[in-house]
Order: sequence, then structure tokens, then C-alpha cells
Amino acid sequence: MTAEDAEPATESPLPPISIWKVGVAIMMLGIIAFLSFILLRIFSSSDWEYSIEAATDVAEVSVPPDGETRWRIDGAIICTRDLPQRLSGFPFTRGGPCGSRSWRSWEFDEPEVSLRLNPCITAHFSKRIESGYAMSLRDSGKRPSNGACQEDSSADAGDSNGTTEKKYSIGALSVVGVIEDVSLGKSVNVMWTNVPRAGLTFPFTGSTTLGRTVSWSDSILLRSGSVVVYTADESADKRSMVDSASLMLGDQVRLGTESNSPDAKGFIRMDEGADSMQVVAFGRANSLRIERFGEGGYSFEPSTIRKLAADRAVAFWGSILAAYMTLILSLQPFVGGGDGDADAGPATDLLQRFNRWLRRKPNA
Amino acid sequence: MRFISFFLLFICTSVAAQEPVEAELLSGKLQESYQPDVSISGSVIVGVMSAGVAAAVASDGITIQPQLNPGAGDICLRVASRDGIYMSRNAYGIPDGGERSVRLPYDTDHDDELDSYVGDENGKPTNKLAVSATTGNCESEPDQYKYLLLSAQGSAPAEDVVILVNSFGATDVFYKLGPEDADTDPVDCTYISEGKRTAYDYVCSLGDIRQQGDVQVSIIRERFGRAQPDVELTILSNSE
Repeated sequence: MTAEDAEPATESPLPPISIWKVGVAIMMLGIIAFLSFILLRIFSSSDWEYSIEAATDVAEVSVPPDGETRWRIDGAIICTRDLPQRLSGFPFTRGGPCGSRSWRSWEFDEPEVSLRLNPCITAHFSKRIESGYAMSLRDSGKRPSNGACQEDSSADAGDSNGTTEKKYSIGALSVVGVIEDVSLGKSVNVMWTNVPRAGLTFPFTGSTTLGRTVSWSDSILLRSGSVVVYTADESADKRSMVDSASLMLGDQVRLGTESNSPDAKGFIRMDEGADSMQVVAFGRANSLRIERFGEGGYSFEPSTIRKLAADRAVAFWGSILAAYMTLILSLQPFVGGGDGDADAGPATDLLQRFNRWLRRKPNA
Repeated sequence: MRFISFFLLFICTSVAAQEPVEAELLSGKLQESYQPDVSISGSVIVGVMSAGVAAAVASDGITIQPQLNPGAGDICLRVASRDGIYMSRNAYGIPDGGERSVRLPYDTDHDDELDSYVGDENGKPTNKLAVSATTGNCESEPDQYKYLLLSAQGSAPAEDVVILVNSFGATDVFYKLGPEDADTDPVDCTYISEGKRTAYDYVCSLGDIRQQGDVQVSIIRERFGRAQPDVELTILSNSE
């Protein structure tokens, strides 16, 4: 510190603030802020979403404890092991497509047949060996601590032996104009030997498994599909693709099946004459697992680099900073140090100072 | 003085009588694999075990109760994780332990991995590890599916017994106690709906059958109402 620097400001007024220096200081702060912003984006949990589209012979959906699901099942054969009292007046057959004689089957010609599924039910969709599709509805066995999904003993869930054993009904059957909300038993199979021409759609929310572990004993598998991970942004469709992967024959995809992972949303589609079911689902990327034959499985989450490369906010602020830096550095020969202040130019030109430092003699 | 010596000798003898005899691991070293590239088992019955035996695998405390001691015979111990990653199959020569239980040494190289299969954070069994022991050498034909009910060293006398089943795509699995033609009602087995289910996907809870002697069990499977081949097994339990 020199004697001149130590003099009071009143005796020697401060030199005017260099706009150039302010501009460079803003650039430095901008760089620091941008690096901090990148670190924040890396370590903050972002809402990376996936969408999946797959063709599969087998799928499983678990209805969550707080959910209720309705599916239209036109053209279906409804198989129950129990005999719901309100269905006992309708003609039924034993065995047939339903399998052994312990199963009873009903078939309604009316066009609007629907199922209301209770919470905590697992629906297992499968391609039938003969033709068409089958769906089994069973209690998932999950009993959340909040009291949902408790066993009940509704009158319609009684079986043909008149037992009063408590059991958990899978849900209720309705046929418009014929029966309304008939509570079914604890085991229900639904068969389609032929899918209606209009097709069938089963929207769902819940943990979902597509495909099955490849084994010598079974031939129904996931056939093909694709997974896309994207993030929300300000583009026209409000999302931007981050990463994608193709699904192979025999893959098994689990969506939201781990504890505390968010449920998937989507729908299963059956079409007349199609080789397999189509499934479309959406959910959080960190709840998606792909298991391939011969591998242990992996969570499908994009890498850090792919996340940053797809981050529109990082790209936007990075572009602003780059443009500003370009402006500052390109103006430096004309503005920096050109205002009579002998120290202003060299002090702001980092490249020049660094160059001089490299060439400086050791004892200089 | 003579009384004290006699008393000490009595105590030592009693303690020694309670110590289990160690079985001989016929291969010398434990044969096990832990690999993500999953091998697929072909067996419907994957585990027949008391609830606490999974923990005994990790803590090297698997024992055979004296009443079950096959005496100088061989047994085959199989352990499989539900996700199919861990598997082991080892034959043991069982000495005649008399009134003493027999411990099956299980010197695993995968302690941490096995610990992760045993229980959740509350210590509750998770059915992530299946254990079964059949009579006869592992290389020989299964002896009519005779399963020995193993115990955890120092376990409680009453423990629920479970059978872990690979349904091979069945939609319903039941078990029935007693002979095949017995007039008993089938009981539902429970579908395991969480996690990876490569090696098995149903658990049949038989309750505490350890005091019932040899128990015959039929595993009945249906796939969308159509019966799949039944599997019958005999569980050799305590005869007392």
C-alpha cells in the first residue's frame, strides 16, 4: 500500500469506476454462478419421466391401496371359484374355457360388461395358448398399515357351501341393464377366446411388470418395445427427450415395483387379431427397472452428462454466458485499457497476464 | 471336594452333550455361486424350511435336530435367493450324533450378500432366501422328495414352516396336508408380488408342523383354472 492510497478520499477523489472492469467482474460472477447452477442441477432430484411402449404376451398390474379401477370386459367369459349369490340366478356352466369343474363360467351377450376392482388386487394378463387372452384377478396380499384392503365378509362373496369365511373380494361385476355391482369372490379369471372387433383397453395406475423371466417352461414373453426418458421443459410439447433404449425379446420391465417407488400410469390394449398386447405406460425414471436374460437388471436412468446435455435451463444460461463472454473478450482490444487508465487493460486481460507470467524470468 | 469334582464333571458333560456334532462337507469347500447372469432353476419346490433358517445360513448356524438325524447318511443342502443370483448346492455326510443335533458348516464367501437377503430393517423375514435339504447325495435321484426340516442353532422350539414354490406361470397355488387322497381342503399359498421373483414366486405357510412327525404335502398348481401336475413331498420333522 502506497502513501497515496492511504490518503483520505476527501483530499484525493477516487478515480471513476471503469465500466470495463465492471463488465469483466460480472463475467467472473456469471461463470461462478453458472458452475454453481450446474452443480445444483446435478445433485438435485429432477423429475425425469419415462414413457414405455411395448408389445408383450404377459403383463401384471397391482391396483394400489388408494385406487379404484374400472375396466370394460365386453365379450368375456367370467370364471369364479365361488358362487356369488346374485349371480346364482343366471345360467352358468362348469369347466369349459374356465378349466376344471371347480370353476363356474358366465357369459353375457350385453354390450356393456364392466368390472370394478377393489384396491390391493393384482391383475395378471396373459396370452392364452389356444387363442385370445386371459386375465386373473387375485388379492395381492399387500396390507398397508393405514387400514386399507381389509378382509370383508360381504354377502355376495359367500360361496356355494354357505360358509361365512371372511375373504377379500376382488371387486364387483356390472352388466348394464342386467345386474349392478355384484361383489365377486376372491378368485376370478376372465377369458377372451375372441377379442371384440373394437378392441379392449385397460387403463391402470399401479406397480406393473411387463414380460416374464425367460424359462424353459413357458413361451409367453415380452416381444419388443422402447423406453424413452424425458424431462419437462418449455417446449411446445412440454418435454424433451433425454435418452432412449430398445426392449428385446425376453426382457422383463418392472415399473414402480420396488418399495416406496411411485406407481406407473398407463393402459393395456388388446386388439382383434393382434399377436400380442400393446402396453403404454408413464412414470418416474428412477422407478423403472429392465431385466434382461443373462443380466442382473439395471435401473434405467440417464447419465449425468445426458441429463445436463438435455437440460434446457443449463443450455439457455450457458448460451447467455457464452455470448456475454464473447462480447467482453472481443471488445477488449478496443475498450479494455483504452480509457487512459494504464492498469485497466493489462489487469483485465487474463490471457495477456497469463502469457507474461509464463514468459517471466525466474529472478525478474 | 469329591462332591465338587463330580458336580463340575457333570456340568461339563451336560454342556458337551448340548454342543452339536459337525457334519462333513463332502466337497471340502462350499460350492456356491453369486452371479447376476441368472441361471434358471427347474424345480417347483425351491425351499422347505423353518422361518428362521434363512438367518442361520448367513450366520453359519444351520442344524439338524437329533430326532431327524439320518445317521451316517448323506443329505443335499440347497440354498437359492429369490432373485436367482445366489445359489449353492452341497452334499454333507451326517454323523450319528445320538442325542445331539448336527451342525452343517456353511463357510460362505458372500456374508454381506446373504445378510441382505435375510430380513428387512425391522428384522422381519422377507422370504428372499430359500433353503431345502433332501435326503441322499446331490448327485443321486431325489429320494421321493423327502425334505429334512432344518433348524437355526438355538432357535425357538416352535417356528412356522414355509414352502417356497416356483409356480412356472401358475395363477393359483395351493397346498394340501396329508396323503394325496386325503379328504382335506387345499389351502391358498401366497403370491409374492414384490421384487424380483426369478427362483420362486409363491410362499405356502404351513404353520408350526415340527411336532407332527413326517408330514406329507401336495403342492397343487392351476393356470387359469387348468390343473398343472401336482408335486408331492414329505417333510421329515420332529417325531416327538
